[in-house]
Amino acid sequence: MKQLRRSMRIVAFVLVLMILLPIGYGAYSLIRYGTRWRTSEYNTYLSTLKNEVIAGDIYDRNGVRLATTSISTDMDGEIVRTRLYADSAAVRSSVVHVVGDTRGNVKNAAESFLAEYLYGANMTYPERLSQLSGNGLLRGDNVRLTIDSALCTYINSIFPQNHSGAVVVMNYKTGELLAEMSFPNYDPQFASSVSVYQALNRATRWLSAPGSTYKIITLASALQNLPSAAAADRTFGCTGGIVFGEHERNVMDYGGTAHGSISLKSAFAQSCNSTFAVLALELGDKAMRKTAESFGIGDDFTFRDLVVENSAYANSSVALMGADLAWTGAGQNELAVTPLHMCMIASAVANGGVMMEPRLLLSAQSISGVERAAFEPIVYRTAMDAKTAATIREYMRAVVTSGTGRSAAVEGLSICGKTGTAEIDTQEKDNAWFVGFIADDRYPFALCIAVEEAGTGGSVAAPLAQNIFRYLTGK
Amino acid sequence: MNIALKARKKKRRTQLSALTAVVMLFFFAAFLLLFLKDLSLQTLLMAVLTPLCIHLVVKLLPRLFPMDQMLLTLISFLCALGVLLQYRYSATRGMTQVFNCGVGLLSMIGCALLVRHIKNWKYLIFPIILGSCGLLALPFVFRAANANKGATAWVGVGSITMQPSELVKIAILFVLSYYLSRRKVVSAILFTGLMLAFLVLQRDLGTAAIYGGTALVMLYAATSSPLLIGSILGAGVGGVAIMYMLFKNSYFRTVQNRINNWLDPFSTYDQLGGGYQIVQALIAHANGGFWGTGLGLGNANVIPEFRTDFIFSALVNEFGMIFAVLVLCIYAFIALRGVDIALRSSSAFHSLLALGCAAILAVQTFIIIGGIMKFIPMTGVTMPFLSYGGTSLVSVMGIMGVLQGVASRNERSLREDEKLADMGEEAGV
Repeated sequence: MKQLRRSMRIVAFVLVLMILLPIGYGAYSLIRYGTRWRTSEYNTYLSTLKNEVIAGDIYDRNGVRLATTSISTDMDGEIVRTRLYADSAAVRSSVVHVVGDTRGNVKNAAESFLAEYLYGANMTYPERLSQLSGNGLLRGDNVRLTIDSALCTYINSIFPQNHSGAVVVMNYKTGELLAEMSFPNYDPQFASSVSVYQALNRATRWLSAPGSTYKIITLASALQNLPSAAAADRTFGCTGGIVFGEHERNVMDYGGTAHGSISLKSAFAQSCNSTFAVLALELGDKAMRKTAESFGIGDDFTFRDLVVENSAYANSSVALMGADLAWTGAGQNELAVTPLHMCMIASAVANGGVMMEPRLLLSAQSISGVERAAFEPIVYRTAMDAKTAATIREYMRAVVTSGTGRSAAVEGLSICGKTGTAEIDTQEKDNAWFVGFIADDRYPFALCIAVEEAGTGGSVAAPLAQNIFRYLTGK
Repeated sequence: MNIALKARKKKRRTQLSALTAVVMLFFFAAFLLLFLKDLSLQTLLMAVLTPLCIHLVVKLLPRLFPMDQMLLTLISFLCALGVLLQYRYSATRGMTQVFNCGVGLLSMIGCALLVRHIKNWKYLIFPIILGSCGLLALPFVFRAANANKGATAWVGVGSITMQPSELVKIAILFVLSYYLSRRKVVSAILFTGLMLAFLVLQRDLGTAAIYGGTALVMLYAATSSPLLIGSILGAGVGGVAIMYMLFKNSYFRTVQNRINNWLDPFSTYDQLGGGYQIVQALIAHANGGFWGTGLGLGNANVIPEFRTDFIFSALVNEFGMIFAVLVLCIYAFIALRGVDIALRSSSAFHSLLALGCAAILAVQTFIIIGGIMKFIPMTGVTMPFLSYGGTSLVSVMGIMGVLQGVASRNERSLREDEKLADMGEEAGV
């Protein structure tokens, strides 16, 4: 009996834990994922709400109206609500992947993800009563996005025709997204049928190998873990590729170009695959993986204003070796990153190593003027120390002054960047990438461009970047 | 009896009355709210009769039969909450649940009386074992009749269906307590193994987990040997692994589905037997948030099994996560009360019996709440007290009856002790 009593204390503890642990987990996951579940396209409650509340307006950062609801009465005296998008067709198509449409073709766009505001979930009872006593209709809050619709329309006009891809422009000091675009797009007002291909938001949902733009992270890892790599007297011998064996995927430089004996800085500027393959092999899987994680690769992204697919370093946690590891160092292999995440990585370099959380919501206001939400910059994580960031910035500057990204240069501006040419096995042509930023406090903008099946980053994506930088600075 | 003890008892009675009053007020307000929505006379009657019934059960029952009043109050609250959640979506189902609660109450009184009055269980154990085996074998007889659901655990005669494994839950508590109180650990393990074999063959893995978990807790309490528990768990995992190898494509197909649904229910949403239920449950929780949508304003009925397995999602949906946590605190309190009763008991058999009651409640709550919160893979078991259905209520109320029986035995021996002490005082010892 005595022994029974002793063990019962432990049993009592275990029983209480059994009852309360699952609900504790439930409450935790509700805090973490609640908004995602609530705004899921499978939520029937939201559509009920849409019948009861008139959705608020959506504006861009400069006050251009992107969506509104018009109310009229039909012949039977029934109230008819029509959701109207921006007046200009070009603006409508340019921002469709951010704003969304009434049928929910674009997953987790503002129309559904900001439903909490648009359908007035935070209305107090006095507010509800005063609204109902007015014209008998409840009206949700108006939201203002960080998006610049004029910039989006400009990008839409210069993006190569008949190519899919994505462009993300963000303020690297605050995390405000000025443009978050996916191609091809469509007009939400008049499109009769929207294909999944059009509706996919490539900026946030398209996971792909980022090509040589990933060398930023390999470089960061080398600067942190291999102090000798960046030393002035260290040179890498490049013969145009590294042979691993007959049945292995040998690392080749673009077009098989041999860069000869070069320093790390010029290897980065010339985007030499062999050098970065050697670096990856010297660093080893553990260090490479750790640096990738510090840049948010493998994170479970739960941003406040938008849903972004989680990036991955590799398909499993098994250590990469040989050709796989070498290719990872050059931005290929199993790497899967979204354009938005690549933009965040470039932003971290620009912002002294501090990665800001990407934000889409500038403010939300009820129609009576009560403020529900106001923008404030949020630090997402520290990707690296300021010294490493400064060195990478210098290297990225060299890419634009003397390397593969020369066509992104704008006279009078200190443009930094990195090109990428991602080889995808199933595609005939490569994906063109460019990430970069303006190293200037007056224009704290970073961008990421990805054009599918277009060619090299230097020839396709970098000139686009140049135009966008010109537009942003008025030069 | 000394005065301090009397004063303490009186204070306790006042606290209990206050608790009962709060419970009564809760249901009066809740049904009144529903009445304002549907304006039916039946709902108005429920608003009056539910608190009245609670009052009768909590105040009258302890006078007729020996019952722990605190436990009784909490149990009535949970049962009435079950009725409310059913009634809110369908008045007819709500009324059936009232009837189920009545049957459950009878089962509780019956079990309490059995435990209180039967002194010698020696000759009853063997018939109980035989009866358990017979009951668990019944579904095989009826197997041909219902091959439509995941688990073939139901038997039916005409319109009446029941789940024998629910009733056997009470029986295994007696058998295990009997063996373990006599240190026959091997017999206890063999018996549990036999029961699990029946359930696994019926593909009722949820109930198998309840039996197994409860047996483990009781085994630990009786032996306090982590080594034994560890080796049994290890053997269990090994056994499951071997079975997985052998029946990868037949038996474990559904198990694999459930694991996939648990890992990422959104990706299997559209598949047959996919994540639809879990996703809709999670969405129902999210719609409720911390404060709930409010009684009568939720839409948990989009979850196919919202009346039974997912009834707790309906609760989170309308009453909110904070209320849900508090309701589970009541379950935790009942389990602790069970352990308390076990500690006060003077015989090893009854002590283990009370502990088993607490354990089975906790294990079952863990399995179903874990399932709907996406904490563990979903296995279809009912939520004690709240789920719709007669068998489930009869079994959980029976278990509470066993607990009450042990409590009343403790009370009786306590009173005898006090009488002896008083006599001693009078005699000037």
